[in-house]
Amino acid sequence: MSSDSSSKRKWTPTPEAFEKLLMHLSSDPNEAGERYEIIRVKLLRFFEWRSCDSPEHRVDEAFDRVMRRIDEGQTITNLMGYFYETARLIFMESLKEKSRTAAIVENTPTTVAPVAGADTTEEPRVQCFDDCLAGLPVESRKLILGYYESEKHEKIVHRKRMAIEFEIPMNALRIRVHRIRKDLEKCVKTCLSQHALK
Amino acid sequence: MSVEKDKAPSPRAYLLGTLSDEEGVHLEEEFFSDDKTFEEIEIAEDELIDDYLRDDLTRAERDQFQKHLLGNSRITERVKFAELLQQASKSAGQRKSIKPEPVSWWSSLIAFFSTPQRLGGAFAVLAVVIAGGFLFADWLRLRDESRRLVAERAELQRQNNSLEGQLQTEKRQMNDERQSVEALSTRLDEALNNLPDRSDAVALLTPLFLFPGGSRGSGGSNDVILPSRLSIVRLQLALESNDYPHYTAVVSRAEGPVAFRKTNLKPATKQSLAVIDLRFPSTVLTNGDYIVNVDGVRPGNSSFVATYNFRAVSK
Repeated sequence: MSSDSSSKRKWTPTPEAFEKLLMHLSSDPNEAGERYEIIRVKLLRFFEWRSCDSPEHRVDEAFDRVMRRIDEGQTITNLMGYFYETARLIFMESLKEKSRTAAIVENTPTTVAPVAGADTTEEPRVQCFDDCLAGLPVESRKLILGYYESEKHEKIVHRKRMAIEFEIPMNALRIRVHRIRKDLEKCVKTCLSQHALK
Repeated sequence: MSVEKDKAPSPRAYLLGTLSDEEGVHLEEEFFSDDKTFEEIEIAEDELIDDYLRDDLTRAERDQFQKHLLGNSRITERVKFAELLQQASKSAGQRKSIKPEPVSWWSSLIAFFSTPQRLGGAFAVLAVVIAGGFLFADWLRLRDESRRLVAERAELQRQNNSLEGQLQTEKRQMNDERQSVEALSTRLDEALNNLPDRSDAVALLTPLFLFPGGSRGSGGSNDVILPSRLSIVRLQLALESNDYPHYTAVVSRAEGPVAFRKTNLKPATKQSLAVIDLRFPSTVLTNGDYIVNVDGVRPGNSSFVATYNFRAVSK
């Protein structure tokens, strides 16, 4: 990090600054909360997809910087554009930081731990998955299980048939399945975290 | 950015880190401002993970996936989740194939005949069914024919029984009539035999004694004088021997029709001579020559015994 960025990190978000950010997102507190969550996820994915280290820390940094500008009274017309530019700047800073670290470690290669087959024998994970799947509405369960039933070329034919059966376009089917899958993953994640607390 | 909208960078390539900086920035700007684009990239991530698990990635894609994404703990968790999801889907598919969900009979029929083998089989079954139908129809026709014949035979049997019944009835009636006639005849004979010789009643003519072969009796000729009114002609026929229990006598013209017949005659013995007393009405005779043939009768057979001659002459 540069000395400039170090000085920026000294700023500590206050509840008032956070309120101002939310007001920028929406006058409705609920909608503002939803928009905040969407931005958080987008920032997180941005850093992950750019293979950035400590993506969650970078997300916090991005929020802090934008809140500070709003708190200081800067007029931001394109808030999402501003978030993106801030995130991109943080990413560039992370690259510089990484190159400094690499010089110390002397080109230590990125260690990629290949997933040689997921460990599905983990009993809690399987149990959580089964419970969450059983908790889905019948149609959602039928849809997601049916969607991933076939493989290779048969998969395309099968999904077209499903789209006809559910009377929706293919792309709408993809999106619907993705959202069910997302909810299911969220449920499993929550379940596993609760299990870990026991 | 200079990237054209119609040449939108591939979310898949973005995730694998193979887009140019310019393309990557363009996509990032878009997904920050557009939730739908962001969701498209999320879906592309789902599909990359699925393809990775199913080994549907090219070698280059696989290498890139492992290098660019798999180092992330979130992606690692997602891979584990995806594997569970694929296993669950596969199991559900197998269960479904074992226990299919109810579908309409029409859909099932179409699905069943969707392969040439099954279609061919269906035609074979159809041919068998049609042939069976013809056989069944033929069997029904034969069955009806058989029933009709049985009914006709029963009707014929019934008619036959009825006719036999009628025949038996007629036979009984004829027998009764015959017996009645015979009884009447017997009673008539008895009446004739018992008639008193009264001149004012039916006149009994003088017996004419005849010997076999036409020889004359005791004096006189063999003439029977026929009176003008009804009389009883009486012939006494002498037998050379009495060898039969009873006799039949037939009176007829010489080579002419029978005038009178009398059965069951029994001879009487007169002065050691067996004599048959034959009586009949004079009306059976007209002028002319007659013969009387006598047969001896035993049970089971009868034999000629003798012939007698006489002549009828009107008074």
